Amino acid sequence: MRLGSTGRFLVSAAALVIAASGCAGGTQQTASKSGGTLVYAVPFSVASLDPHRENEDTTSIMIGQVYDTLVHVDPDVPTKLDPGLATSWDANSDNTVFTFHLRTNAGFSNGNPVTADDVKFSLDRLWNLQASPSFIMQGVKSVDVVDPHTVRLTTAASDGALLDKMSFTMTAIIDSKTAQAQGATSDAQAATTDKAEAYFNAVHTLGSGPFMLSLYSPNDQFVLVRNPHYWGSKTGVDKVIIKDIPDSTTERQLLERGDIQIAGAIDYATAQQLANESGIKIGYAHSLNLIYLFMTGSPQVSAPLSNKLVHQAISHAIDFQSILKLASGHAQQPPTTIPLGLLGADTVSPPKHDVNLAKQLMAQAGYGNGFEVPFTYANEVKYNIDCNLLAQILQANLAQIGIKLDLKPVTEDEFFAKFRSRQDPIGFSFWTPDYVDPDDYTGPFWDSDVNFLTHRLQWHNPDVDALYPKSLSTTGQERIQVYKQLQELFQQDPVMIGLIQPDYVLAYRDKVHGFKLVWELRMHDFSPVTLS
Amino acid sequence: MTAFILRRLLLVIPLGIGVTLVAFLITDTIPADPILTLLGDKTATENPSAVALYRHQWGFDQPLPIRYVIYLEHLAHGDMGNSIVTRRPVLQDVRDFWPATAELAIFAVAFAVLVGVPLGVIAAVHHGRLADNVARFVALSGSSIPVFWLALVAIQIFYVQLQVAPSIGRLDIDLDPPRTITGLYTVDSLLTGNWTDFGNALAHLALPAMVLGANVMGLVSRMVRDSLLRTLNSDFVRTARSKGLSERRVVYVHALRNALIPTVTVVGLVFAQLMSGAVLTETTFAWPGLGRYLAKAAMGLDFSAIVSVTLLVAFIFIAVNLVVDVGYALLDPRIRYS
Amino acid sequence: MAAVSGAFRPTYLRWSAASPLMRFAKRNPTAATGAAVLIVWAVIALTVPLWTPADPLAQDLDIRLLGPSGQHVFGTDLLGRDVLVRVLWGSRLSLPTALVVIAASVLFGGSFGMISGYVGGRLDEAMMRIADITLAFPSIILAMAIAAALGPSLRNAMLAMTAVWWPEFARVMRGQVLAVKEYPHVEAARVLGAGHWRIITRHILPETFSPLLVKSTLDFGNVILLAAGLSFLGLGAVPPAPEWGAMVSEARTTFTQWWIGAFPGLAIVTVVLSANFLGDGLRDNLDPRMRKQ
Repeated sequence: MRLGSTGRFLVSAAALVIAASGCAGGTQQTASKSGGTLVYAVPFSVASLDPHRENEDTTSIMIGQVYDTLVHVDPDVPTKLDPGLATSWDANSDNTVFTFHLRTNAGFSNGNPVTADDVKFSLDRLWNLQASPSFIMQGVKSVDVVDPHTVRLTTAASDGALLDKMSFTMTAIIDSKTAQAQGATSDAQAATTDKAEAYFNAVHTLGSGPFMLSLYSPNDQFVLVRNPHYWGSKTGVDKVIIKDIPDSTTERQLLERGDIQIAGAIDYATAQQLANESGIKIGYAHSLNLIYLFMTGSPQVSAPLSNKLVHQAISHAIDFQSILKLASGHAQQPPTTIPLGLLGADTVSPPKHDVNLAKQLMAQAGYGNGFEVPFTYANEVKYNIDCNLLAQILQANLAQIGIKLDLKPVTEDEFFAKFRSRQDPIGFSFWTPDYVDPDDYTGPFWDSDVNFLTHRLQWHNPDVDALYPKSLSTTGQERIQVYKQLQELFQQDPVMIGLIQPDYVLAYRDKVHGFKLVWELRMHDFSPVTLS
Repeated sequence: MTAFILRRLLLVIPLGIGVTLVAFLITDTIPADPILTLLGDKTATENPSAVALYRHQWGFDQPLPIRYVIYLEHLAHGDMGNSIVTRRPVLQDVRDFWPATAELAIFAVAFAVLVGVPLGVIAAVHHGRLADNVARFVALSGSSIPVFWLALVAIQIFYVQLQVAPSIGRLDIDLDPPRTITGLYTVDSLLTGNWTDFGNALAHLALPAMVLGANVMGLVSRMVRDSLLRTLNSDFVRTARSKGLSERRVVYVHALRNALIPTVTVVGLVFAQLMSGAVLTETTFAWPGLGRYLAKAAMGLDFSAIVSVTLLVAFIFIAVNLVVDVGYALLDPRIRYS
Repeated sequence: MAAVSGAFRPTYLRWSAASPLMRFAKRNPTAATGAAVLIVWAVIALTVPLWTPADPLAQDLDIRLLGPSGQHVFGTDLLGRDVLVRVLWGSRLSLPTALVVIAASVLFGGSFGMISGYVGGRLDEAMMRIADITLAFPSIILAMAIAAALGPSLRNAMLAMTAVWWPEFARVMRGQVLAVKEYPHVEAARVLGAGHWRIITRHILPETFSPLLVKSTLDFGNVILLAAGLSFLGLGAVPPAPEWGAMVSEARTTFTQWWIGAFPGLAIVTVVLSANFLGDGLRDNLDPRMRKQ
């Protein structure tokens, strides 16, 4: 992954503004007794319980409570990093050598102390397992133990994002002694020799976080209990249950009765109704989650859809406002594929909704009579948006300019198989940021050297390619100008169109205090929560 | 009779192979790649060597016939393979989920029988009159609504509005399950003297069992009505009547006994179907059973799980059919199997 | 029906003496009601394009999720479409789907059962085991595979449903064939040298009509419910088709906007109940053992 060379996360504060309609974010600890059980409901997306093999949403929430990372992102000031297992850190002038000083009183839930060896083992294992979360360690040349409480990371190239990366849940530090006794390995052959996954999946956690996992029932629930050896302050509640509730209606029913205290997957319409009920509060937060339309750049895949004029026509035919209504207004529309809130995103305007212009462009391209094309999409609810509804809106929009979309709902796996096959003419996909910088939405999207989506869509824009390196080498105002130009160049052939940036929404009982509403799942923190 | 049973049992092996083979072939037609989900889009795209490595670990790099043979080989040793969705042995998953489905199926069938049989009797005895129509209407109403809708309505009415039913799931959210002996919470809690869990489990079973039971009750009730009507119009009943026996005795002692025999078949069939997991009911009630497990396996292209659960379900079906047929023969002295 | 005094006899009662249909309706009011409801739906399904009040696909996100009102008698759905119009048009999808699946199952399952029952012996056992396996196979796997291999569409969903349903008819057909095979007139025909084809078509097949008709009617409702279940799993009709099962399952997330799911659900209930009552009535009258003596 290419990273900003100066790499500061210039996330404007507006990005993570917590909407004022009753947020838990700012609530201070009231005179509430600690203890009790917090039940948090969310549709499960869980595969493995091994933190170095897992990148699924729900597991990340659990791992974040049970394991500790070197640093944490400050929930109130997202550009700031708080101490985790590391009390202090420093980087050399060109951001290639990072030294972390570990705290001396941290212990795993089984009593073993946390040392630099554990850090090295964990990070090496994360990289060498080559599983879904390994990419976060890309570019790290070596992890070295300087002394029992000091670790040094060296990167191959200048990496300003490295400090932030060490806050991600997959960099969880595990107890290397117990892990190795259970067959875990961290060397270069780890992908073949490591045998510890079964141990993790049998509900053993080797973490130093505020909670421990005491029960896991697949497709059902995680039960977390307080970790008696935790170095930090005692958790507010005794138990946290993360329960698998697959749909919004059931979550709502449970929340109304009070059998769950936090509902993590309420849809927007339901949230609006719940806001009027006593005892229930709703919180919204702008997110950087993106749903974007893509089209192919290859005439072999689809002659009409690879046409630049058709791309422009479609960008003017889409009624973005009606798409935003799917979120009942709690969403943003990014002008291109860079979500609003990231540096430079708001320097251009989104495509204007103009059906007549779109029709003219279609005629210009030679498709005045329109054409028909299959439209494969994942039959899921993503970021609280029902993809079936989104697909139907796009179908209606494009029908106005003569493009007939044959909707084909499939499972998420099947959709990604088709998307990766490079033969998909048109569809929409999703992106959650790996790190908080506009480069995560330009490099993999537009640049031919990174060649992620450009490869998949068989599309290149040489003007964009030429200007792209400047977005990494500049900073501040200059960088913002580069992004303005990049977006303008991109909009000349909009092969990808940002459709919606849905807000994160949470419904909870008002007896819940201390839960900071943040959209990034890795920042969910149940330890300060108390129930009144 | 013994020869009959033996013959049926002998068929089990070839049937099992047939079922697993078909399941394997069918799953293979689905154009998705479970390794991609395992590794995530990013790693899968950027790291082809990792893809190759994990393909090899999970055995996906072998041609289909070899994978099938390997699966059978493991199966012969009692190993159902590993689930790529839950990353645990399929056998363990089945052990965890099957009792939930079994318990729900038992209570649902009990409800369907306890309510459906009397309704069917009323309908038959009052054939053609108002009571017949009302009884049939009641029995059929549950079977005429999509079951997931019925479930949501039932939850809304009994749980949210009237507040008489507990929340979804097998137990209250922060209650610990009883010590595992059979896996059926009601049985286990009784055996271990855990009265809190017993009452709680029963309460949680009530709504899903009623919904599922109401959904299959129509079938049971109809079978009772039909066979009772036939019996009531038959010669031997006419003889009994002409002998001067009271109508009550005729109906409830003689006719009903005969009519119940084909009902047993239907009940068995229904039970077998419910054992394969009522996906829709389990999903709506967040019931961690086999149906939900199979649905997730199907979505995630989990070969081992799909094939193993299909096999299990087929076996249950065959077993129940055999029991029903044998029971039929035992109940009806006119039937003899050779 | 009210007693009628001797002198005055309205026309319809005079008809009732003559028409077996009217006699049937008199003796089985529920079955007649069921038949009437089905006929009404059939008429709607056939004619709605001629008189439809609005376009079932017309979206208007400004009026989404509105309750029943003067302008939208059944309210609007998640995309602002009129629910009443969609329910009416849905009959053109749900009803023919069930018909096709039943017809195909009768054809395939019936032929299968006929051969199995008529030939008997080892072939019969083998064929019945195949039917058993098909019945035991979880339908979701079958439906998913077909949808995945052939693409998601209502047509492929029909294929999947037929694949699941045919064994039922095979069983019924086989049972009937086994019984009829022993009838005296069939025996006689065989003795007189009639060929298999003649025996099947002239003697056996006619005896199978009633049980197949009864079962088809009774199963009609169940197939509609099966289609709804498939839609719940995303394997049924493809959006934006206003298929009733798909509409009910779409309403899962917006339960408090009850009209979105309740009205298509009601449509399903009326059809299924009607089919059930009609089927019961047919069986009561066609099965000789059921008739009141």
